[in-house]
Amino acid sequence: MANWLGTLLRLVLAGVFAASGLLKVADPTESVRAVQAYDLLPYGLARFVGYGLPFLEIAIALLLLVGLATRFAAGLAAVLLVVFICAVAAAWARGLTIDCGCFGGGGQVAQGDTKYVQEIGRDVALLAAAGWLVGRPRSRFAIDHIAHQEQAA
Amino acid sequence: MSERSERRRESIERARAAEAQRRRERRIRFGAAVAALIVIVAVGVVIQLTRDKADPNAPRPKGVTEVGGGVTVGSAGTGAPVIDIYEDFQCPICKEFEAETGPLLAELATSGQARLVYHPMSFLGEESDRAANASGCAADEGRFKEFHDTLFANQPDGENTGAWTDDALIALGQKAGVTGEGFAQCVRDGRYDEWTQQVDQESSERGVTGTPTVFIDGAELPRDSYTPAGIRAALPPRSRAFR
Repeated sequence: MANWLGTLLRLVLAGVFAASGLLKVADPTESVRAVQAYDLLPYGLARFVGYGLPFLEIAIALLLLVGLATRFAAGLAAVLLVVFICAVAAAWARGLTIDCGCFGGGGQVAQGDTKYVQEIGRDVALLAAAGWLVGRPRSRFAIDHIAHQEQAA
Repeated sequence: MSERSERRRESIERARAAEAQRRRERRIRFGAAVAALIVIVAVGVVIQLTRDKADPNAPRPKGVTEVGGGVTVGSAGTGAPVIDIYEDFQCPICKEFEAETGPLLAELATSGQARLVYHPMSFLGEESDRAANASGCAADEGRFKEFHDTLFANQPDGENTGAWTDDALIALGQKAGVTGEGFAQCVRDGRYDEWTQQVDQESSERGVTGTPTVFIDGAELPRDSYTPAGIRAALPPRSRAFR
């Protein structure tokens, strides 16, 4: 039963990471601007993150989808989610009014249009899912356990 | 007795071999995962770098000297302070900003007290792209500022509503006195589409993450100074004395 939960969490995380990555890949300029809006990185680094992060998200999504190195992939997802939570919290704490740019878009928004609570809440929920998989990476339909399941059969 | 211990040793050895095998497989899977990750990210960064690279030979509106540069308005000499203004024609706050400070900015430009450089950004969607391209076309006719003012005065209620088609922009151009024959063609061709993209990139490089953003002689105007008084106060003392 828990193995099926692992599969479900893998697919949910994979779906969210794939969506966020793919939506950002379309517009690299926008992606860089979204990173810059956090006002944490100099342009050179923001550019690198803006270009690379969407692909890192897609790569993690692929690993989780097929269940390859699940613990590693989920751990990486958890690290990223912690970084996202810190970045959004930092923006909030400094009084910036930005969109997190989590699924494309991003940049500054009007004073009343920030969604920091929802953004952090969503990331915390995803972090819980990633945490479960780090602690218990075993799941059905995963490359990690194909050989194993055959042995057991 | 000895046969039993023999068998036990064998099974322990077999378990150990299986464990070693499993560990080897895990290492292979981990290695494959890391390799896939690195390849995907590296290829991705290269793709985005290529896609985001500005073609320095792409057409630029008349008077724009640098790749992704803005359109200069006013006849002020080289010694005058430079006011860089980053706006998106669809941005409602820009419309408010224009309504409040536009008259002062126009006065500074016409009297030669400051040089205005407008950077028409296009990050709010398709109709921003189209409007920014059209503003480049108007610059070719020497009527950027007129067209710019007309766009803000006629900003649709809401973004990308379908209001700013090429035809609508051409009509607004006529309203602004852009009557040259090339204008309509230029708008339809999207002649400055690449330029507008480059303006966006240049703004990103400069750290512009929202509109309007104003720089006076290279220093970003603080958020609470987007008023006529705020702009006056931020001008260098010499030009302030002029007013």
